[in-house]
Amino acid sequence: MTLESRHLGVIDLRGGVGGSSMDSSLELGGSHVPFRLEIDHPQRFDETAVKTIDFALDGLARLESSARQTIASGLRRESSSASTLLRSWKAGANPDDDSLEFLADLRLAQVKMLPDGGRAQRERVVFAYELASSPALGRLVVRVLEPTGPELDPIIRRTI
Amino acid sequence: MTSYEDLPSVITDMKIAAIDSFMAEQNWFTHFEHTDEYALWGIIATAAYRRPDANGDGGGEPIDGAWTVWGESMAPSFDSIRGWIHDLTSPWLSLPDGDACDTPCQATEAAANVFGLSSGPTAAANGDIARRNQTISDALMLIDGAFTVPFQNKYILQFATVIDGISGSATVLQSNYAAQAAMWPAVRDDVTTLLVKTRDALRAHADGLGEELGAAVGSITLTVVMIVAGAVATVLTAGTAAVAVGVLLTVAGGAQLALEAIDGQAEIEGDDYVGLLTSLGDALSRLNSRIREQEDILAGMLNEASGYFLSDPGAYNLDAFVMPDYPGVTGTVTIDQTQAYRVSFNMEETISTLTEASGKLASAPDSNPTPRDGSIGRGANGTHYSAVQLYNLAESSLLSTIAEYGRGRDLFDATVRDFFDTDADASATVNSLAAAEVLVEEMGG
Repeated sequence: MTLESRHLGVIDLRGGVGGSSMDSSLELGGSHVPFRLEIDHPQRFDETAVKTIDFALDGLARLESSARQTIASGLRRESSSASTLLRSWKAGANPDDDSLEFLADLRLAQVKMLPDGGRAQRERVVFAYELASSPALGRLVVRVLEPTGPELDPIIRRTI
Repeated sequence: MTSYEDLPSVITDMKIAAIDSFMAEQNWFTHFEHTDEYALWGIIATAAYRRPDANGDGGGEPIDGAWTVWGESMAPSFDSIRGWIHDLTSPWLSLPDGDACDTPCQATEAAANVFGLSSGPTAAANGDIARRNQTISDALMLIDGAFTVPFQNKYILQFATVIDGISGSATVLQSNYAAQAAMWPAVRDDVTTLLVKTRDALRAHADGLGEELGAAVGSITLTVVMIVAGAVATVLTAGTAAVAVGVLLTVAGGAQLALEAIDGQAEIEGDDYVGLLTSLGDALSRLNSRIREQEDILAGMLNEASGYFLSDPGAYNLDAFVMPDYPGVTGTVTIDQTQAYRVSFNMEETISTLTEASGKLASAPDSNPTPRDGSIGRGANGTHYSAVQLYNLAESSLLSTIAEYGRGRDLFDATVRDFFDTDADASATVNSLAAAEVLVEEMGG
């Protein structure tokens, strides 16, 4: 039986260690972003699961702006990964620029969704951002947890 | 500390927590920013249901457009959860506080204290009645005359038995009222504990907090079991009841043992809202069974005591005991004026003491001192009817006994006057009093 998502088309899960996944892309904020769907329990994956994912994707834009809000809040703490990345960025090519320009330079690099982790795996959506002007400086990762909401990863990551 | 009076708000919180749990089990959590909505995973604001309000009412409608994942409003499920909690808890919200038992408890205790230890002259005597009874007995021994034999038999020996019996019934009544006075505050505490635990467990479950859930669930000891057994034990080991004798004390002692044998544990457990609410239902049921068992034991004690009054009235009411034939001043009679005076005087004093006891005992409460929902314990009337029956028997037996004892005193005085020929009609008086003595006043059962 083929399961089809309104957003992702036909769902084709590939097995791996600890679950299955599917790679795709989404249109978000005017550009295409790599998207990975991770399923912990592929044997339970059904129409209801697809419906749930579609409703989550319907609300993804709004969730993503909460994620950006979380990064902006992170800039108010000196020790956060956002502040650290800001300092690296300013030390590089942008010494005269500030938070607003920094935030404007951040672009969404990747999105991951993990709908069926249950209480064991509470991350549902993960957003990874890099600086458009200097992607090599690393990524800020915002993990949106069920049910507490978005958290800024304290470490600047290379991948998510 | 949460108290019984806080229960309505505990129940409101429980309803909200149960509904939150129901939604959480389907992955709908309170949105991390908009706490008046359930959102998918707690994070997708565009897929949301309305939460109940602060009173736990309403909620369940999908918000923001025509999306519905499951096709219909959650409101009927919310109503059904609220209804379940209401049905489980509402009988427990109108429990008595036991204060109305204080008056009859004190009255029966005070009466028992006036009776003191009144067992016959051969046993250790304590209290005015017993001492005077001993004095009268001693004085009678110093009077020569066949009439002293039946008189001693009824007005000394049987009288002591009757006072033991009525005093025993006062102790039985006191046990009932002390138990009831202690029971209901304990039941209120136990209900509060169970509801607070359930609310806390549901809240922890809804919020996904593993450790808090672990702390909230578990076994509790129902305090009502120990407290009621202890209240009866206190009555039976304190004061006059501690060394009194008589079959009614044995009846009360049996009740105490039965109460101590009841075991009282209940559990709140479950890993979903259905399990937790079901365990609350079971726990309240268990509590109710314990109350039922306790009230059945108390009613059994009261009914058994009443049974003795009805089946052996001569042992509980002096009027029901017929004195063997009273010969008056016949045969060899020698009466020492001093001894005669000792008898008459002490009988008069005894009448005062008995009247005092009667005043203290007073009457049964007009209405049930522990009214509660009809589904709880022994029903809306608890042990009230059984207690009233015994109370009425004790009250009327005491009044009859006092009247009969007064006739006995009159009979003795008339006999003495007859002997000394101080009264022309003394002989006739003795005969008519002896005849009246045989009559037994009809007593209600």
